[in-house]
Amino acid sequence: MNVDPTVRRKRESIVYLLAAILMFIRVDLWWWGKITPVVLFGWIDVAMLYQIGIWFVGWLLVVYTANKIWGDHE
Amino acid sequence: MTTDTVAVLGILAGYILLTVFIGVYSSRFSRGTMEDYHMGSREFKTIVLFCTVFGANISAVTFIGVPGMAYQVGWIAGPYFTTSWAWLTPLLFYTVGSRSWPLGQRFGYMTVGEVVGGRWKSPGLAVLVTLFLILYTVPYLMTGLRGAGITLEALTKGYIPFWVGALIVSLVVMVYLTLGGMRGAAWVNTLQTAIFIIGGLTIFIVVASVLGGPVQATERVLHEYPELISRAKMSWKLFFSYGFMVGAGVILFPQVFMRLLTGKDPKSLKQIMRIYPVPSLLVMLTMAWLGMWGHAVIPGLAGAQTDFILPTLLARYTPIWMMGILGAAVFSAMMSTMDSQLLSVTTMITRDFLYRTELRHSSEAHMVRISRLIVILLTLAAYILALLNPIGVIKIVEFAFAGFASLVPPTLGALYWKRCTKQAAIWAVLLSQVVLLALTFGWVDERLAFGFLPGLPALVVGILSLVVVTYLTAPPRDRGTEEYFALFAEAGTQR
Repeated sequence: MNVDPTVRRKRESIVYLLAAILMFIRVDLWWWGKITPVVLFGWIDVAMLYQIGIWFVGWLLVVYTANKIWGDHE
Repeated sequence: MTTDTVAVLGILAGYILLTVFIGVYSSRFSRGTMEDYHMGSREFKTIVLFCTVFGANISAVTFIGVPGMAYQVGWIAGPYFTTSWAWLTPLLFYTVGSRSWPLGQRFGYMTVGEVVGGRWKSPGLAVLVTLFLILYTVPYLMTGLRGAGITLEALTKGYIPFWVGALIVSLVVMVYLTLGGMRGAAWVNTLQTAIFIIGGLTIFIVVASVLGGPVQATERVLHEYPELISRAKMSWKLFFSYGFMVGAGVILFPQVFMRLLTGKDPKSLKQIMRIYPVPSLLVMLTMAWLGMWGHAVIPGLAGAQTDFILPTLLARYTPIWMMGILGAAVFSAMMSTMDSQLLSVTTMITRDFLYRTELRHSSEAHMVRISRLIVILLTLAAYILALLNPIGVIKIVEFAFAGFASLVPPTLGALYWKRCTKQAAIWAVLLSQVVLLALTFGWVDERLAFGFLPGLPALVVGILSLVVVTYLTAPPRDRGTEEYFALFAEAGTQR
């Protein structure tokens, strides 16, 4: 897959912007220092799930970059 | 010596013998060149490449530092790493790797210093960058050895003292690295990475089970130590700033950066990028949960004692063979990092210092012999430093992470910003390091960091100085800049 430089630039900008946002919102100040309800498997609470969600979105960005930005010919 | 100790030592002896065998066997494939000794002839494909990059990254921190930290602050010790490093570092494999890899192919570069200095054909800048990288790699190197000593002492209930455990690891790494170079290390890392990922998950499942399962273990913590669940013992500013340090810093670990350049093709790099976040999450989160659960069943540990929580949990609650698995997992994680750090420092000394002297006219075989001698001397130095070091594992690594992260702005300037000047890169390196060291060692009032880790203000100062000095100096018109951006255009990465 070859990526047009203009398209690549646009996609890179979006990925880096989302990455920057993730780095800020990983600090969930609204729940920090509080006990949140357990929502999964009887032991994962909302705050834990949120952190796992941040990781998951980050992983999606990585996969998107590998698949759609980094061209094969490089 | 008890039966338990004999069993643990038996498993560890088997692991060590296998490691040495692979290292020695790999030396049969040596081509006797610098390119082969330091870079494995740049021919690693996905599995070996992933294992050697991941192994270079995962260290004592995972099995000693993370459970110890979670014992003190709770489960958030896991996301402390996983919600930044686990995905941001592989993202930077693209940002930095997609441009550094073709440079390595074209110019034979092996080190960060060569890539940054080469942009402006500046040996001085290359040496400056390398000096700081060595400064931050050596303390990090000590953590592996200290972790090895701590673990073996705990696993054998004090029968094997700290200094002997550290000595054993030093000797084993020295043997396979001296003989096999990068290829030996990468093959051994493949075994080690498999061991510590599978071993870590096995430990989690067994310990969680003997503690009554995750639900019961977590409920006990919630009732007795709710602050470990609510994250009241972790400052959000610390959590926020460390995310940037660990996420940005790892890409400039000399051992990780070098290994990215050993990939056979970009396809392999892209593959490891996709895989990387998954084991990162699994290993870190599970170790953090174990450390937190350990607080409820083994209360009362404080300070550096908390580093012993995982071996103590296993010794008290699991069968003998689990101690052997922990030992093999911990030793794998530590040795894979240690060998890669030793080789990367050796490469930097050889390429960024010795190759700038008359030694560059020496034969390849002679330079390989010198490289092997440097590996031996560095191992000895690291061992002595590990014996003398009184500071906790995490503290050292935090300092090293910040040091690496502070070098990211000039590296990105070299790779992405055509207008960026050599003077700006030099000032960015110097000013960010001065700020980092001044805040870390208390040369200036720590309130100037506004409650964040010193690395964050250092990073900001680095970025600002890079931009300001660039626009205060004339645009670069050197050959290096032309060569770099012509290559990026040719490789299809031109912006």
